[in-house]
Amino acid sequence: MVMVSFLACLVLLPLAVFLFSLIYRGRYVYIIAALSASAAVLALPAVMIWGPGVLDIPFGSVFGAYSLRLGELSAAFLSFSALVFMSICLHRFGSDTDMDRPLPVSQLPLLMLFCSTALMSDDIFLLLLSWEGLSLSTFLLCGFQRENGKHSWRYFAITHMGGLVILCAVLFLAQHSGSFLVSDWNGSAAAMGVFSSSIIMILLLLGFGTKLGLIPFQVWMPGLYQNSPPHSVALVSAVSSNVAVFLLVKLGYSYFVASESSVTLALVIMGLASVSAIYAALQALVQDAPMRVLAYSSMKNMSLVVLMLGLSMLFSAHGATVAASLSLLTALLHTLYHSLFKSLSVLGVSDAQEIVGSEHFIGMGGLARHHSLLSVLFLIGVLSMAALPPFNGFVSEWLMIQSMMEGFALGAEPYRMALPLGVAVLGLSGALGAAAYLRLYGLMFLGRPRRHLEFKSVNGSSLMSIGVLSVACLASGAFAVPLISVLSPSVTAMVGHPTGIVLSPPFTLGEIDPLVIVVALSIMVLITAVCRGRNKNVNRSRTWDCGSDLGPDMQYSAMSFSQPVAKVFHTVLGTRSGIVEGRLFPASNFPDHFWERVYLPLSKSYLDLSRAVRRLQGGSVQSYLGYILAVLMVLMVALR
Amino acid sequence: MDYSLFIISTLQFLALLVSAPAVVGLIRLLKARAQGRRGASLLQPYRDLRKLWRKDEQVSEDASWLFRVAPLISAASVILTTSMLPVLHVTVLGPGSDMILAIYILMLSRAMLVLSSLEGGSVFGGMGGSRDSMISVLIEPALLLSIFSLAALAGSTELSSTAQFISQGGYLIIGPTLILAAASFCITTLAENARLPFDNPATHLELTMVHEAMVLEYSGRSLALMEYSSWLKLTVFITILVNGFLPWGISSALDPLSLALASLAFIFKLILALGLIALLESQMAKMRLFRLPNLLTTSFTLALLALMAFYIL
Amino acid sequence: MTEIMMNSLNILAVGILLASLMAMTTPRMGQLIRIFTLQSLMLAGMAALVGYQTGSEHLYIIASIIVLLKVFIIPRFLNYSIERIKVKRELEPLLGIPGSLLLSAAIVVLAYFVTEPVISLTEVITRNCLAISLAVTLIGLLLMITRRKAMTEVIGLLMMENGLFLAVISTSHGMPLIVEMGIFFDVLVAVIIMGMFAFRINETFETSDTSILKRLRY
Repeated sequence: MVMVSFLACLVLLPLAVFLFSLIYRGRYVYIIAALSASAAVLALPAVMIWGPGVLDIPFGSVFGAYSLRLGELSAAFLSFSALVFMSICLHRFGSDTDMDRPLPVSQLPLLMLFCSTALMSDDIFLLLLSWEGLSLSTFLLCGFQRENGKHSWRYFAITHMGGLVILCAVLFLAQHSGSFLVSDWNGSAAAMGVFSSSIIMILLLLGFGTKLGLIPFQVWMPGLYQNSPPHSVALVSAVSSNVAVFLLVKLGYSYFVASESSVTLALVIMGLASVSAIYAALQALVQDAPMRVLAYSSMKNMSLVVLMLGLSMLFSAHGATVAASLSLLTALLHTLYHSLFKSLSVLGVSDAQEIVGSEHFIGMGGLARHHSLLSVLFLIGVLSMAALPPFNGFVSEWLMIQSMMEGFALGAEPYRMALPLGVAVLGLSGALGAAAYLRLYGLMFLGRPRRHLEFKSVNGSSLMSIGVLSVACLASGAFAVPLISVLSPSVTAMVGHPTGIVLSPPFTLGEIDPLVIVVALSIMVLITAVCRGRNKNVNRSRTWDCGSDLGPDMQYSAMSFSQPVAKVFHTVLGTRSGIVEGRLFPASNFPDHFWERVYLPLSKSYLDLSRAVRRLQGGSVQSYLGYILAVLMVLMVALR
Repeated sequence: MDYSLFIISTLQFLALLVSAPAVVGLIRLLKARAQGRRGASLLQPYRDLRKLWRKDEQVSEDASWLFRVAPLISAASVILTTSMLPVLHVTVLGPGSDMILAIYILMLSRAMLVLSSLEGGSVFGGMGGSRDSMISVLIEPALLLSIFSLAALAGSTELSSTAQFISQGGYLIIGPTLILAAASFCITTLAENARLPFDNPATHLELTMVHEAMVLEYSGRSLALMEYSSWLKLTVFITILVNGFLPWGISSALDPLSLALASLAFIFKLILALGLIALLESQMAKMRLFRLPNLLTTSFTLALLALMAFYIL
Repeated sequence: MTEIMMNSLNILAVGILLASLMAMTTPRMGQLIRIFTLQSLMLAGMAALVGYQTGSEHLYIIASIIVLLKVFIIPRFLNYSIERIKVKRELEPLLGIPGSLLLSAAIVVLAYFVTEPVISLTEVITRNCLAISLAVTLIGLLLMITRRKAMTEVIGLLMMENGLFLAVISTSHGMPLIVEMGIFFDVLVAVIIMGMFAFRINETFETSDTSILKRLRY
């Protein structure tokens, strides 16, 4: 009974706040929006105390009653998303430019509402409705009428295409299983046959892949990230990725029972995800604006999540359920962690951009000297993003490698060779990503300012929200073990383990609690600091300049930092170098191959086709009558 | 809690910490001898450290708090990794001996180095940082794969277990997998520790510097920490090489005889490895920066072949 | 005893594969020939070991012929030719060293994947070498594809032949002696003829770059 009212509260609170925000339009509307998520933050504790909850709403659509279900997994996703959402609202409340670029604020509680219902809904009508609602409200938040309109429309078109594909897949599943409740679908794949269940899986991956930015759907990401309000970007990259991954897993695993023959599908998914991850990490290293780096970082992380999903399918195709649940769990955990560190870094970048007044690396640098607190907090985000210990990004990446190592569970199958290759992919994309994020931090915060600037201060509530997120980054990594033990029963049940075993580290290979690493590392840093002692004779002096004055531009720039890697991987990046007009130095640029080679030809051929069709549409009545006559005659002859 | 185990693991941890400068000193000495010079004493690195420790520190006007914190974190993470290594006995002091974890903690040290290289705002630092990023991008897959093949062979990523497994597995375990993985790991050791032919540790020529360029702005105690952590990192890598890929002699019992044998064996293998490095460094020229991918891909291919050999044979 | 034998056979097989990979990385002619010599030596060792293991004595003869032909005569001849044509180094390869190494690694994976069903069927002790021999053959072909000098093409062909020979030794313990003698003779003649061609190409075009041969079309 408690849970029923809690679920009702989860739906009604955002709704009420939404209605209120239609009337009230002051600055405090962001605080009110944050309120709308307050109940959802408590979802995970509530489920842990009172158990899973179900709420059936008696009146319904043609598809039957609406039904909401809150299990451990959806509660965890809801809690993390809501926490992120609240911090983003709080940050927005604090940031200065409130009045310059107002967000369509009433969309915020609506987004939270759609997020909750999408995570909880059990019937497909509510699910599809809230998924589309989520897409729409993020689109509106990103602003479709200002100078960035082009990129938002790209996002709109691609995600809605994805929505259509999802609709097809879900309706087919509903029709096939004869139920509109996702929870009734369990095991319906057996009756469906491998071929069609693989097709559905591919459709789902395509559909949600558009939102996650898998290759080749990433074309909307860099532009949208760079040109939209940062808070909307944070919402897109954290909250809607969370929802997308959760729905993908929920829908996918609700019917998909892996058999021996789904190995190929799993391998194909893993291969595409690997390509996508490495491509994204490489692109992240050569971008010239911080937000674009973050866009490709989202792409990379989501590709890794899909890689783990593929791995889990591979394992369950072989019947290695423990390994399969471990990799699925890792995928989910990484998604949750990603939402924390990604929103932290997006907000940090947004603050830095506010301070500097530039959206490119060219005008940045040297922020750490004047904004120590911001630089410390942002460093935590960067280190988590780069998967370095002791933060949460490291924990999930470490678990990824652990799951790959579980490949010994595959026995002597020839496709076990995929696993060391997977480890290599993780290593390569991880190192590329780490280099990219360190470069991001170095260019923004370290060194000398590249332009003379009036440094603005950062608002307290902005710093507070970033602080909350960075503490969450550390804590969620350190307390990974309790989190895993809460989530693992539902994950193992999803994979189809008969007893629903509880995964707990010690896994077969790594036997260390992340908390121990955090503690050990901090102890070591403390000891070293004590050993160094307080050196009184620290003098400030100028950087060694070889006898000439060092100007603000005489530092390594964004492009020069990535030049060695760009040169090594020039075949992948398609580097174009030359002297750009009006500049003294040769410069390289990295064209978006997918836009130029896939999307533009596609749209061009579509336009050509329409032009060809237009020729038929002469507009004169006589020609239309002529068509009718011709069709009639053909039909009469054919159906004689 | 078994006290003798605790004492042994603490002792071997401290011994590694203390001997790290001597390891570098020995390489320098052997290298000098191989080139027909007398060379500085084995204790020279200790003297260098003492000298740096007493000196004043110069910090660039452009640098922020990170400049002084980075050496601390860098050194701390290498020290933590050192505590995870079995040297004479298979027990360790630190949190387990998982090699994947060790690699990630070492990456933290490297990340701090790259960040601090951008602090001074000079061109040298950025140059070092960007080159170092390139090298680390290319070795990371090879490093993970060679650990993976060791794990495939011995069934664990814990160095303690692999050392025990391999040293008790008899001579038959010396197969293609072990040899190839060791070869791959040798190359990554050289690359990770900025030795020839990847980087010349003895020069400050801007065309060739990688590691030296990154610490160029450091002085005083911070430089001492940076130097020490790079030496310790070399020691860590050689210990992993020696105790992971040819762990014969490592002790899993506690009696004095086997411990003495273990220390003899370890010192012998260590000197052998250092001699090889010295010989290599006096024979080889530094490679051009953009030839490095060739060697690093070789290392990757070797590690991959090690796994293939494990699967095929 | 058998285990030591297995182990040394495995090490030799991997050594042969490694030699092929080394050939992919070096641009120098002299080194290439030395690598080929080493590979042939390991092949001979393998033949002798298999002969010892199975007791089929004609494998000893074959091993000694390999040593004679591929370790002494052919390398001598190749060295002589490169001195006459004065080719010390390969030109810039069509595919860079990292690329060709990664491609070779992919070939090894593929070879394993393809031969896996066959391997699990047979009972021969050297059955595992089948994947390696396929890989060596294909890498030899890759060497011929990616390099341009006529002499490298010859060495690529010889390495392919080594791979085929490895396959024969490891799966069926060698063919009848007379067939193998025939093959050796063929190889020798082929090398000599190709050497001649290399001279001719060099004289006619003043280069031994085989990609120039495209001009013959016109």
